[in-house]
Amino acid sequence: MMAFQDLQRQFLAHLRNPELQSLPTGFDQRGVGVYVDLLYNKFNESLTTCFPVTYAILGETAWQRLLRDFIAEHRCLSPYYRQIPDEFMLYLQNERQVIDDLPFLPELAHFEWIELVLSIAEAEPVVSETLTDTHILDTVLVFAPVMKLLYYVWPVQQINQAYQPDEPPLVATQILGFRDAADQVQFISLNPATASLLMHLQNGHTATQVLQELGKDLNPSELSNLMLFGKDILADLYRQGAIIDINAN
Amino acid sequence: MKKFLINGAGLGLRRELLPSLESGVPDVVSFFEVSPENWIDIGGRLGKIFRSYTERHTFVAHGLSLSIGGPAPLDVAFLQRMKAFLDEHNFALYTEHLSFCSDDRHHYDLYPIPFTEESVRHVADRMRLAQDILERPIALENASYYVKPPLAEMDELTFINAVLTEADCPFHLDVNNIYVNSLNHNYDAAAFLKGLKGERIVYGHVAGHDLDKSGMIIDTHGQAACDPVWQLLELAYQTFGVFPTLLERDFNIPPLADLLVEVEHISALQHRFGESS
Repeated sequence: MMAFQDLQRQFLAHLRNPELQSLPTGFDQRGVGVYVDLLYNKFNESLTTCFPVTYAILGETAWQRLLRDFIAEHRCLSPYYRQIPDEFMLYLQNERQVIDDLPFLPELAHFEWIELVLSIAEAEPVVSETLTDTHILDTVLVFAPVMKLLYYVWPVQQINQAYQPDEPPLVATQILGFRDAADQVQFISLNPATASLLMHLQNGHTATQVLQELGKDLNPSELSNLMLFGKDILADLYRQGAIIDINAN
Repeated sequence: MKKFLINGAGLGLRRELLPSLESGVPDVVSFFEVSPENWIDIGGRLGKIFRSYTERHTFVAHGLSLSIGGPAPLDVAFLQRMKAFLDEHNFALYTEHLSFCSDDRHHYDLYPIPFTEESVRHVADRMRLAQDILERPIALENASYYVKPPLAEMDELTFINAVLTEADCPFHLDVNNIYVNSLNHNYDAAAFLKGLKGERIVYGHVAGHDLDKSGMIIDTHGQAACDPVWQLLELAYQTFGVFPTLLERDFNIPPLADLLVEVEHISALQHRFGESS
C-alpha cells in the first residue's frame, strides 16, 4: 500500500475510536477533533430521527455510549445515507454484546426502524380492487406489496420512558405493518390466531383452505364459527388496505 | 456545442422545501440539485414526489460516497447503481468531491486527501474507471477541510490543478469552500481562485458556513452566504466567465422566500457578467 493510503486508514481509525486508536503524527489535533465531532453528529442526526423512543428511553449519556460503541465497532458498508439506520440495526442485532443493555433494546429499535423501511420501500403502486366475501374466502388473496408480519417477544408498541418491563409477557407481540394505497404506513396488532391465519395465507392457499386446516379437529359448529371469524378478520384487513386484490390464477 | 448542459441559477432540493414548492417552482430556479445517496432506492410517497420533480425539472447530482481519493478499491456495484439512477432520472450533470470518505467502511463525511504525487495519480486513475462505468464525465469539486494531511508534497492549489489535468475532467468550483479553507488554513482566497483551472469549470456552488467552538469555520451550508463569498463568486464570473451556479442550504433551512433572495442574487450576478449559456 502507498504511504498516503496507510495514513488515510490510520486517520479514519482514529476518528472512529479516538481513545484507543492513536493519531498518526503530523495532524493538527484541533482539526482532527472537528472531524471526530462531525462524525458523531452525522450518525446522531440520522439515528435520533429514526429511533426517537430508543433515544428517549436511554437518555443522552447511555445513548452517547451506544453510539460511540457503534461508530468504533461496526463496519458501515452502505454508501447510501438513508441506510445508516439499517447499519445501526445490523450492529444491534448481530454484533453488540453488552450485558447491561436493556433487554428489549434490539426489538424496540427494530420496531422504530421498520416504520422507516415500510414508508420508503420501492414497490408498484397499490391498486385496490373491489372484493366480495366470496373472493375473500375462496380465492388466493393479494396483500399490500409493502408489508411485514412482525413478531416481537417484547411489547414494543407499549414500551416508553414510563413503561420499561423487566420480563417479556407470556404472549408475544405480533403486528402487521404495511403501506396502504395512500402511502401511509399502518400497524395492526394481531392476536395469535389472526397472525397464524395470515402466516398461512402467505403460502398461496385460500382462506377457506387455511381455516379448514386450522380447524380440522373442531366440530362442525366450531368450524363454522372459525370460518366466520376468519372472514370478518380478512374483510377488516381488506377495508384497512392490507389486502388489495385476489390472484386470478 | 454548448459548454453547459444547464443554465442559470439553481437551488439544492431538500425534503424540508417540498411543501413550499408544491404550489410551483419559481422562475428564478432554473435547476435543482440533490445528493443521489439521499434518494437512491427511496420509494413510497417521497419517491413519487421526487420523480414528479425530476420529470419536470433539470437536475444535477452532487455525490457524496464515491470516495474518489479513498484507499479501498472503487465500489463498482455502487457506480453501476449510480449510473442507473442518473439515467433513470435524466440527470444533466454528476459531480463529486475531491476527497475520500471510506476505507473498509463508510463514514458519511468528506476528508482531505494527502497532497502527494502518488495521490494525484491514484485519483486520476480512479476517475477514468469511474467515468467509464458511469458513461459520463464526473465534475470534481474542490472540497473544504479542517486538517492538513501530513506528507504533503505540494500545496492545495497545485494538487487540485494537477488532479484536474491528470484526470482530464471537468471542474465544479465551490467558492464557499475556498473561503472556508482560506480562513482555516490562512491563505488568500482571491489569489487561490485566480490560480485555478478556470477553463475546466462547468458548475459552481455558493453556500454559507458556521463558526465552530474550536474556532474553525465549518462548511455546514447552515447560513446564508456571506459577503466575501459573494465577492468570490463575482470574481470567478469576472475571471472565468459565467457558469451555472447553485445555492446549497442543508441545515437551519429558512423559508423558501429567503433562499430565493440568494438564488436571485446568483442570477443577477450572472446577468451582470454575461448570460450563462
